[in-house]
Amino acid sequence: MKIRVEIDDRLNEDEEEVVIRCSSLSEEVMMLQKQVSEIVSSKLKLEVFKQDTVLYLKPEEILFLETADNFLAVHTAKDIFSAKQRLYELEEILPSAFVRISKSAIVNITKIRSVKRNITGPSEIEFEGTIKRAYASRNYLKQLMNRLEEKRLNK
Amino acid sequence: MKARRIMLGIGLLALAGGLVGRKMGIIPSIPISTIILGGISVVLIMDGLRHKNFFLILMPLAFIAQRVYSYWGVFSSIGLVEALGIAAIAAAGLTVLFGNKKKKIMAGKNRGYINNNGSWGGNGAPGQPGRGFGGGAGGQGGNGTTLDQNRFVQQPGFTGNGEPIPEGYGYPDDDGDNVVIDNGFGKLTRYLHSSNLKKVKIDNGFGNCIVYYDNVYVDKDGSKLEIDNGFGQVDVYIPPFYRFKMKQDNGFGSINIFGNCSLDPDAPLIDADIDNGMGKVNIYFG
Repeated sequence: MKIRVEIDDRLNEDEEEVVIRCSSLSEEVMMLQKQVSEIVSSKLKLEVFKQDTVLYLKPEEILFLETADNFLAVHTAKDIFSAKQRLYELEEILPSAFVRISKSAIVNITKIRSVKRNITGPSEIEFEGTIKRAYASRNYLKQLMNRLEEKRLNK
Repeated sequence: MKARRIMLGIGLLALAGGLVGRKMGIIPSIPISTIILGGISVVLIMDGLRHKNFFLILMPLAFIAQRVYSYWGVFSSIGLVEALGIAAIAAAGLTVLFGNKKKKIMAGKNRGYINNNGSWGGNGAPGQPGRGFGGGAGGQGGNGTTLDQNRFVQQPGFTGNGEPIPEGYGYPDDDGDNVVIDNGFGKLTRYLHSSNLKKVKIDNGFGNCIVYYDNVYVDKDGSKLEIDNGFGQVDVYIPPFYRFKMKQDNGFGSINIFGNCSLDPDAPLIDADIDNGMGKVNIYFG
């Protein structure tokens, strides 16, 4: 596979693009796409609100996002913000470290300290450096555990 | 009371089941009056389990066992009065061994607040420490945060200049001074937004209820927090810059506190009254 970088100084930063030209969607290409997506989304800053203040959060500051009471709550270790996007919209743009844990919540797996499994109900998720908890429903628990295992093996 | 309604519902279902069973010939020899009293007994047993009252558990149980099973010859040698007497003695024994009195923590004359380690921080003698009290993990301290920095000064939905926040910013409405949260089954998450919170009442049956004191300014005279939990789990997140006192009535469940509340005597007080049956109530400061 050839790698070519074209530099065009007439382009603005938001006009920059990465094109992968390939004959078929192989595993190698998919991995490449995933890596590029990770780099792009790691630069993302999420626009959130606290009363009348607008803030820009880095994804790594976020513990989990949850919809409740018709608004989207963005939890950091010490605070709660609201965001104007919908949960599924954020799920698409956030880095792959963000995993859905229920119909109404997405969690940042890099912040997870422990998962307390519960056979009869939602499993309790604890985070590093905070007393906040999130709950993973049984339908999404397997996916979450797989992602945590992937993360562990990658390290 | 959601939990009581659920218990009444279960009792009525038991009664309906008994009547259907009788009609279908499964339990033909039991009179209707016994089936009705059996349904009432189920409600009493559930209530007894919630409040850890051994008399309410064992007496109706003895009634059901004696009246129902004697028809099948199991308890035929024990009469109803004898069965109730045995149950009363057993309940008295269990109450002596395991019974719990209604616990008051930091109430009445001994007003104060919780210390970082969960011990008494007020004037006067300390109250009885409650079960599970102060057993939580460290959490974030509230000492670096003052109330003024976090005070909710402007009207919700408006900026500090009085201009409305643009549409689509997802800013929630003010919940008002008194908030009632009612959850039966399933998961319910509520973010409280109030500029003058006076009372929060949480009634949870079997579900998982999570409440955040998000953008909340507690009334200067303090705020009440009433939690009535049956068999489910209630998690309440309170900012660490409020004082907190608690009165608890715990049955077979657990009440846990995580993190630290404010030690500032001028900070508004959240006065909690927690009635927990067989579930779990967690209070988080952070």
